[in-house]
Amino acid sequence: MTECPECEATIEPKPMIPGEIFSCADCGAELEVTTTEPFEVQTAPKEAEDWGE
Amino acid sequence: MKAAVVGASGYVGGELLRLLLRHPRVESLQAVSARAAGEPVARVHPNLRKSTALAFDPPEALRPSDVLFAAVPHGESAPRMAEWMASARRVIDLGADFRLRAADRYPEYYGFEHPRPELLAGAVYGLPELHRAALASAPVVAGPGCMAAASILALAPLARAGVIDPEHVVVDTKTGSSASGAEPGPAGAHAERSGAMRLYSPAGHRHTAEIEQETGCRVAMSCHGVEAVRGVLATCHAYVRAPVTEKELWRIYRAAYADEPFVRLVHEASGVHRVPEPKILSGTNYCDIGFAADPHAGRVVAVAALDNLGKGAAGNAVQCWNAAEGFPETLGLEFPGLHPI
Repeated sequence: MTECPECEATIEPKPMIPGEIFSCADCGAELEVTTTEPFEVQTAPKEAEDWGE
Repeated sequence: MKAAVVGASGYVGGELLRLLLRHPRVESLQAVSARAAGEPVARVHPNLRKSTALAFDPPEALRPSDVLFAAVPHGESAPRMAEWMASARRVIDLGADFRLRAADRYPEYYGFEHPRPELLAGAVYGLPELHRAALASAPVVAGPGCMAAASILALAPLARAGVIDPEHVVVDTKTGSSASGAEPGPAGAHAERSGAMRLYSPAGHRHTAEIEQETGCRVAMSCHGVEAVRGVLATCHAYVRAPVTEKELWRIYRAAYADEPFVRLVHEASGVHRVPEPKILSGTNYCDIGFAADPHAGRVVAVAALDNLGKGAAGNAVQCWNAAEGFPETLGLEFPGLHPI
């Protein structure tokens, strides 16, 4: 169990692999799975208008 | 149980009939209307065709009941309350006559001296989210005004948490035409109403009094009529005592409403429906609440949406009854709304 870094909603572990993206059910923020053991997430990086250049 | 609806031919009365006809604990239902006495209910409320063969009874034919819902204009409940209390074990009044605890606010906001001020102390303000425990023993429940219900649900958690300056709160509402009731008037004529975005009450709207009573804030309220039949959107601007983050706002609102069956927090990062809007709430008993921190202005914006005939009136009244009787609070109120609509 972890929490959304944007709104602190409780997030149950999901059958996903590191790097997968999903939306927080409460605030809709895009979250990226960073590790599965333990299950942890971070706010998914947003591509800027310059595509990261 | 036996239920009666007095003032059943109006829009709120019709919504009460729609809900109570399908409520699993209602064994018999009486529809009372002076204006439509003798008429079949479905002739006035055509959505109820094939749902009921009831006809409206005149007020003098009111029968004893377990619960009486009163949906009559402001000023008409107070003189009749003693009669209703003798007829029903519980009265849920959807007008304004028992909303304010202080009798001296009635002349200021409603233009009449309250004829039964001794009854005000026994009435419970009918928002289960604020007064659930008191509903069970209340002989009289006073249903909130529709715009007041939205504003109070948006503001009360912020006020309780002490994060806003209670002396400077601005409430800006938009509402649909059904909030004006079923009685025709010049402002409601199609030629006047269609396409309108009308600031019909820049200051001093009567719902101000109950918002102040329930939140403890001093409220500056402005009200607009917009191109919709149902719906209220209340945008509340509150100035913070100290900087507040969105995470803190999430904590405050979750603490208030995480366990509430009819309040939903809507503050999403993406998608079409990122903040509350009334359109998808038509026919439901939900109140959707959103918020945003505005550090530039030292402000919190709290916004609430509901159906003025649902959570703003009839649906909320049925929820109060459910809570008062110890029924599951969602009984008869499970409709999730329509999308698209």
